[in-house]
Amino acid sequence: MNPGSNQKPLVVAGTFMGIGLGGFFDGIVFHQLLQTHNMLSAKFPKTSIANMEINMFWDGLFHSMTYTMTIIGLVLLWKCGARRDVPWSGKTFLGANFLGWGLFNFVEGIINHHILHVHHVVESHGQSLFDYLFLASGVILILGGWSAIRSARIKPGMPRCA
Amino acid sequence: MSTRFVGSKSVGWVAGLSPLPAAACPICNSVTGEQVRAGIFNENFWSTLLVVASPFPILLLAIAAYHFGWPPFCTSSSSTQHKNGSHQPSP
Repeated sequence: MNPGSNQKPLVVAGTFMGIGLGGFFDGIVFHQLLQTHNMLSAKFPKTSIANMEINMFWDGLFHSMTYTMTIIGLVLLWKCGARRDVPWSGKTFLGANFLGWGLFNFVEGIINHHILHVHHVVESHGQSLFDYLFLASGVILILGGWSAIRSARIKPGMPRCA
Repeated sequence: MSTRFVGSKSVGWVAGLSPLPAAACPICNSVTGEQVRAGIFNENFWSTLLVVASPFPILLLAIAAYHFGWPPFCTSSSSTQHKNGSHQPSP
């Protein structure tokens, strides 16, 4: 394969990291800073210490999974660094991160907010406009990320470090 | 200030940090701790774990589809093949 011509491994690494970091963003901003919801806040409303602790446990398990995704992304990124056929493109990697973040928001939003109803973005409102805005943010991030990846498409023969 | 005094003061300070608030954790031996354990480790544990983990297999499938390509039954021949029959490379 030509040097710097295979974009796919970098996109995969960035997407894993985007999913992981998107999950951390959700957890840090919505679960901890704003405290608008927790993992199972529709099932265990935050009306008692016990319920808050139960939510905290499931938040922790959820974050263990986002942590795992981030580590996988980091390992894959490290491997990309050693491959001559993979272009070291910041635009591709950033785009893939946004793609992963968007995928996370979209898939997590559809499953947890709209199908299983285990929590909603603003729990006190139940299913609301905020759930749809969350989905929309996912779509925008996916499109933006994909567009960045496409525009950074590397031609065969380009230098290894772009 | 004697070493003994400093030592007893430190023990008192540390003990003062660990009263009731910490007794609500899932491994705490307290009434709230038992409620927390009962709310987590019950007959619904595995189904709840499945619910919490459910987005991740789908996300992994999406990445796998990008990396390895869609299964043949998911792709239409007109969208992925050129006129000469060769497959169009994915980005």
